[in-house]
Amino acid sequence: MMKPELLAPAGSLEKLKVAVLYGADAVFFSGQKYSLRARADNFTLDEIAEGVAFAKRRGVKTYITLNAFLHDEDLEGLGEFCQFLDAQGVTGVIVSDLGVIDVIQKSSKLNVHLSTQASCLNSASASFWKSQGVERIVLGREVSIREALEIKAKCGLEMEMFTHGAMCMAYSGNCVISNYTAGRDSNRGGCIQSCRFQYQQASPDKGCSSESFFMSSKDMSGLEHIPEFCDAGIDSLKIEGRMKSLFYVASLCRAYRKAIDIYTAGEDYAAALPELQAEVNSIPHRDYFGASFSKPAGMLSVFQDRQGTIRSGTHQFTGVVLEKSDRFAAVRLYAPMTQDQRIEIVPFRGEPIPVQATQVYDLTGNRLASPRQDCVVCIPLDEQLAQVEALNIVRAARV
Amino acid sequence: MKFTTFVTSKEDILACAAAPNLEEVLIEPTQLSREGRLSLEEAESLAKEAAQHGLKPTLVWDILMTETEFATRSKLVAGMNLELFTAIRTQDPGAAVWVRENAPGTPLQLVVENSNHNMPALLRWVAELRPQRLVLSTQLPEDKLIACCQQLDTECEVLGAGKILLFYSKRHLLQANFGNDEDANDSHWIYADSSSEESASRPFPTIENEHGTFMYLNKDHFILDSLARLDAAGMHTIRIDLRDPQVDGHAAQGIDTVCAMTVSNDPGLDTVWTRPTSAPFFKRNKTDKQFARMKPQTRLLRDAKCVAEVVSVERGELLGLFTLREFDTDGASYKFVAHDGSELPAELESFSDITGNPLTRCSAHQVVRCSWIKGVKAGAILVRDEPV
Repeated sequence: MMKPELLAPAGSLEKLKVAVLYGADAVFFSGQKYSLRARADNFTLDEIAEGVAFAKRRGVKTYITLNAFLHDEDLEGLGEFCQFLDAQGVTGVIVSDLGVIDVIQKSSKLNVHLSTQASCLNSASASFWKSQGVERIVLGREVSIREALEIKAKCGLEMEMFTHGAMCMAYSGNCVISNYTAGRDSNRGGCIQSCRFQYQQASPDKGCSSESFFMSSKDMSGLEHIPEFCDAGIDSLKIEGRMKSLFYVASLCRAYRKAIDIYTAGEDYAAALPELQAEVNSIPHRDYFGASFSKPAGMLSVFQDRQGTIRSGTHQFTGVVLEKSDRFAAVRLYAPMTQDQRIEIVPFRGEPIPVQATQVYDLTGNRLASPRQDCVVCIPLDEQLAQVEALNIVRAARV
Repeated sequence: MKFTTFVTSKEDILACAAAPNLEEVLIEPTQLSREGRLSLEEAESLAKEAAQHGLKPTLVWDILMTETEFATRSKLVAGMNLELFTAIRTQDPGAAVWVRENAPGTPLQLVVENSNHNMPALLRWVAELRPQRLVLSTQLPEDKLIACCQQLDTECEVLGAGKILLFYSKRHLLQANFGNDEDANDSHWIYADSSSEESASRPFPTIENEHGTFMYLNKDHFILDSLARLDAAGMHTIRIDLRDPQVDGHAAQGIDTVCAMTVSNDPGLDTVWTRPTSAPFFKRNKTDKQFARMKPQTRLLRDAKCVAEVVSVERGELLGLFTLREFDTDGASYKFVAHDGSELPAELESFSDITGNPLTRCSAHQVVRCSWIKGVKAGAILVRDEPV
């Protein structure tokens, strides 16, 4: 059985490394321009070179997002940037805009993937993009797995589908609320997420009004649909979230890596599913739903809670191992630890390693009872922690 | 310069026939068009009526379609008498391809309103699909629209007055609050005004129908009083959209007056248009200007000169650095750059690793201890301070 590629988001160089080490087959990220995440850290040219080299050494593919819809003045420097990407050996670029495709093809030999932002939804549309030199379609999130299979059969292109993460309520590329209400172009990376706002609504003809988050989508999770994705021969399964945390990237890569491996190895997927779901429930998320994987997203796909009440997840992101010496693991803390807190260091493969943090030291060598966040602590290594590696995630179960 | 508008009734056709410079009408069947209210038969009948009055009827097929829907809708179009229509208008590239392959004699009008904002893209749409006309974005400023008219080898159209579509979703988002059992059918139509917590005084007209949910700006786009330069540049068609999403009935009543006043540059035109108006991008589009302020100032400094990030501060005692690349601990000059871009000179000494071994050279990806410097906070970066 063909194994779909697991494609993970990399909002920064550190996230790229975490995604690769936790099992991604490919990563997508962007430079400082031409992409849809203006607020993400994104990569400098040096970081792109380092990230691509890091991934290539481990056999992982790299896709650069050039998926903004650009105005003429934004195209400046794009050709040179594509030549730079080509020279680095990136696997491909993800593009929405036909003008950007034009510049790419005139300046480089980069493989072009069509971004979901172009809302390619059917085989005739895919055929058009194929005629434009596109090699892979990142399908619109309204497309079902069965439809994706049909589109692939008819057009012969590789199919990539989002399988996990937050999603636009609109057809991607067809929402310009930010442009008109905040002066920020949503299709050039300035989306203010108006769909997450609460709206007061009144219907004159129905004579009633309501307050609701009617445009806010639940998060998609395709974990239950992994068998269908694999059986349909979907080429790439994508995790959304370049703005999300290291914890998010690591947890989802772990879960989906295991899911794909278990199913394609012919193991009992149904039996494994609860544990996999526990992993994706460990991170902060809105309620999950099955997007349009098997049937069109209906009324129950709306997330009616405020962003502030996003499910916190079963675990807290505590930190990341920065370095392992012969005596200590140095952990950068993203959350404070409480006295004697039980934490887990999550290896790249295998079960989380429980650690009773009774002996934690700061960099001066002082033992800490309750380390604060935004600092580095040293955890003495013992036999149990021998397999800890740099860039392992550290988490703590929420009480 | 010509006008075009939507029609839903014979009365609309009569109004259009009386309008100066209006030679074409847009006909929207419910099953093919975002805001259509006509059956396929009614659409065909209206096309005949338009032709009888010397008007060119364009079939509007502007919905986006997943594979299943595309199969259904394209069959419907194939079953129509397309000879009644002088053009077909599409947004979905799949629909455009279908028209090219299955109705090669019918001119294509391609809607590229959704974020096609650069000339290479527009030139390529024209080269590849050979449309009779491109329907351009309202986010293009006047100068760009003029350039389009001059450089594109096809007719250009832009909205002159009417609703601005902000949001198009396949999901049915009003039913939960305003629907009832009758609204489950294919021809349902729900209207609501939606005001967000961020825009309480701006109720956005919102409709739900079988194609999903559409939200519009609370103000109409309006440039009918500023068409002189576009006209001189050769803008082929100006669309005037009089459809009222709250009203199922006529769609072009008063079009003759609006066209006549536009043609004659009547200063009273803006008083005839009763809804509030705006044209925020007609003079300039600055929707990327805030982006530079959205990033931490240190981001672009993370190049080869950036050697470490401050990851821990033990006040009065030491700084913890995480090295990003190899560097010597002496002989070079460094500075710290904080998130806000402010700089502090870095007179660093006493480098050691986490087990306390002194270092004269730091490896990449290592936690390093060094002397504390007042004012340096976690997240600051250490940069080689080289002359520019």
